[in-house]
Amino acid sequence: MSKLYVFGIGGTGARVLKSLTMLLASGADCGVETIVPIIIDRDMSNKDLSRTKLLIEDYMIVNKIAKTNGSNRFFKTNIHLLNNELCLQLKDNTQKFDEFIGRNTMSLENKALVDMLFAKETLNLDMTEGFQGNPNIGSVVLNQFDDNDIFQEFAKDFKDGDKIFIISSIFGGTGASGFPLLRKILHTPNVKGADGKAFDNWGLVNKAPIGSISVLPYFLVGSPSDGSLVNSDTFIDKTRAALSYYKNEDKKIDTLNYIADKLTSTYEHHKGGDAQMNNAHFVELAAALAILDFVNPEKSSKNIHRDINKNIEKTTYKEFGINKDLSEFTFDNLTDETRRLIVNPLSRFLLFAKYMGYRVVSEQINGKEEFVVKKIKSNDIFEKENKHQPYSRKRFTEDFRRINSIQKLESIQAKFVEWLLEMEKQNRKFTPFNLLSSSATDFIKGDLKIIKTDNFMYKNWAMVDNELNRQIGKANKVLENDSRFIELYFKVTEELINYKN
Amino acid sequence: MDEILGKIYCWFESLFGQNLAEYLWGYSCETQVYDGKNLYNSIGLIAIGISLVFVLAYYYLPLWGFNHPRTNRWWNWIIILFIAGVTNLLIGYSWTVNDFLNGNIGDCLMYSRDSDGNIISQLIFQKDCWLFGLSNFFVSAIFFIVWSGIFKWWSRNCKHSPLF
Repeated sequence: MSKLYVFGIGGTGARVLKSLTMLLASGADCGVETIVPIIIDRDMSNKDLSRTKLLIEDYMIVNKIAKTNGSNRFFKTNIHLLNNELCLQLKDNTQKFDEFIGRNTMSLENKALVDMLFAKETLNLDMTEGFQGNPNIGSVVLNQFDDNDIFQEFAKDFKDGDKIFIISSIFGGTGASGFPLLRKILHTPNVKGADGKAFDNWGLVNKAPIGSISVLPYFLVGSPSDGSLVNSDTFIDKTRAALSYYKNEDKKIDTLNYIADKLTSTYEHHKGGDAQMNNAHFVELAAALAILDFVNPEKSSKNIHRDINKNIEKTTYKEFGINKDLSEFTFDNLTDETRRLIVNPLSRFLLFAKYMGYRVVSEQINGKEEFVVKKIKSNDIFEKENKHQPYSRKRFTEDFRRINSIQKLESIQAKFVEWLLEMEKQNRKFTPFNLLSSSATDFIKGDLKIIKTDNFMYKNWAMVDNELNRQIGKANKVLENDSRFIELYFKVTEELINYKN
Repeated sequence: MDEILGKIYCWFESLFGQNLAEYLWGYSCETQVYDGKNLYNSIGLIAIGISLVFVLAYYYLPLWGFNHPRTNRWWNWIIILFIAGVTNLLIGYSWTVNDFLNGNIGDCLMYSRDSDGNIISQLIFQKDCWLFGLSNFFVSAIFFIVWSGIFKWWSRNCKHSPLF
C-alpha cells in the first residue's frame, strides 16, 4: 500500500504534523496506509518539535494495537519513521553563520563582499536555534540536506505510487527557505549521497506526486527578550518576497495550498529552544487537512494533473476558508466538506477521552484563573464502572490501565484535549466543544445534533455503558485485550455519534 | 412431586406452626385426612411466578431500574429480591389471614378443646399468618436466587450481578 512522505519544515512544520497526528489518532480518513513524517529543523531543541516527537512516538505504540481487522479507525493509519528518526539532522553543526560560510578563511575581497551582503547580527547568528526569520541564511545552510542518512533512507524506502507533501511557513526563516530548496532537490535527477553513489529509487522520487502547503502569517511575536532577530513587522514583507519567488514553483508542484489568518494571536517571543512552544491553532489543523485532501483518492483528478510522461501539466492552487469571519467559531461555521472530514473523528475521540476521565477544569494558578486539562477522578467513568460492567469485567480491570499501549493511549487522549483547549486560547478561537462539560451528550457546541440521545432509558454515561455492554459481543474475540478495547470504543462512539450531511 | 413445594415451606414450619402447616397441606378435620386443597402448591407457584417475573425484569426489562448499567451492583439485585420477597410475604399473609378470619381453617387445627368441647387454647393466631408470609418471603428469595442463576447470563447490563 502507498505511503505519504510528509516533510515538515521548521516550527510550523512540527505543529502541523502534530495536528495531523491528532487527526489520525481520532480516525480521520487518510487515503494512504502509512505516513512517514520527516522534520527538517536546525533548532532541534524547540519545544514544539519535542512535543510533536513525543506524540508521534506514543502514536506508533498505540497504532500497533489498533490493527484489529475490524471497523476501528482510531490510530488506524500507520506512522513510520525512517531509521527510527523523526528529524532530519544536518551533519554540519556549526553554530555561527560566519563560521559556516568560512568567513575567517576568506580573502579580504570576499570578506568585504560577505560583509556587504549580510548584516553583522546575521553573520554572528547562533543557528542552533534556527534561522530566526532569515531565509537568506536558511537557503545557504539547508543546501546540505541531501547529504544525510535519513535522506538516503527516504530514497531507499520510496516505492512507486508513494507521494510527497511539504509543510512550511513562508514568513520565517527555515520554512521559507527550506521549501523551494527541498522541492528543487526532490526534482534534481541522480542525486548522490556522501558515498558518491546515486540514491536508490531517485527516478521514482523525481516523478512522485508532490503537494505542499505554505503557511502565511497567522500569528505575531511580541518584543524579543533574548536578542532574537525575529520581528513580526517583517512577516508580511517576507511573505510577499517569498510569494514572488514561489511563482517559480508553478508546474513544479502538483498541489500548492496556501493558508493564513488575519486575526492573529501574539505569542511570547523566544529565539527557539525549550522556550519555543506555541499553542495549537486552527490554521495548523486546516493545514493538516490539506495533507489529507492531497491523498484523498476521490480528489486525485483535481489535485494531480500529469501527462503520460508523468510531467506536471498544471499546479492546482488551493486555499482554506470558513463560512464567516468570526473570532470564535464552531463546526457550524465550517463547510460541509470540512465537517465531513472532522466532525465524527474529533467528537468520537473526545467522547472516548472524556470517558477515561480527561477534561478541562478551571484552576487558580498564581492567583489567576486558568483552564487546564486534568484527569478528574469523579469524571473517570472507566475507573468507576470497569468492575461492574459486563464489557470490562475480567478484561479491562486490575492492571489493564498499566499496560504500556493503554498508558500511551491515555497520554494521547490528555494531549488531544489539551490541543483542543489550546485552539480555544487563540484570538481566532476554534471552539467546537464545551470542554468543561462532564456530560456525555451535551459537549458539542452549535446546532449539530449528532449524539444519539433518543434512548429514554439510558441517560448520559449510562447510555455509553449500555452501548459498550451491547457491542462487546460483536468485538473480535481473538484480539488481545488492548486491541479489543480500542476496537470496542470505536464501535461504540461510532454508534453514538454519527454526523452525516 | 406435588409435595415438593410443601416440603420447602416446611423448612420454615417452626416459624408459623404445625397447625397452620397442616391446614396448608389440606388437612380436613371432618374426614381427618388430607383431602383438601394443598395450598402450598397454590401459594408456592405464585411465589415462583412472582420471583421469575422480577428476575426477568431485573435482567431483561428495558425500563429504568432494570437491565441498566447503573443498577448492576449486587445491592440493586438485593433490593429487587427484597421487593419480590415482600410481595410474596403480603400474598402469603393475606391468603392465610383471609382463611383465618373467614373460619376456613378447621376447628381441630384452630383450637384445643376439652372433652366438653370447651376451648382450652387457640392453636393458630393472626401472627402465624404474618410468619407464614415471612416464610413465603424466604421461599421467594430461594427461587429468586435460582432463577437469577439460570437467567442472568444473557443479560446485557446485569449478567455479573450479584456475583460471578
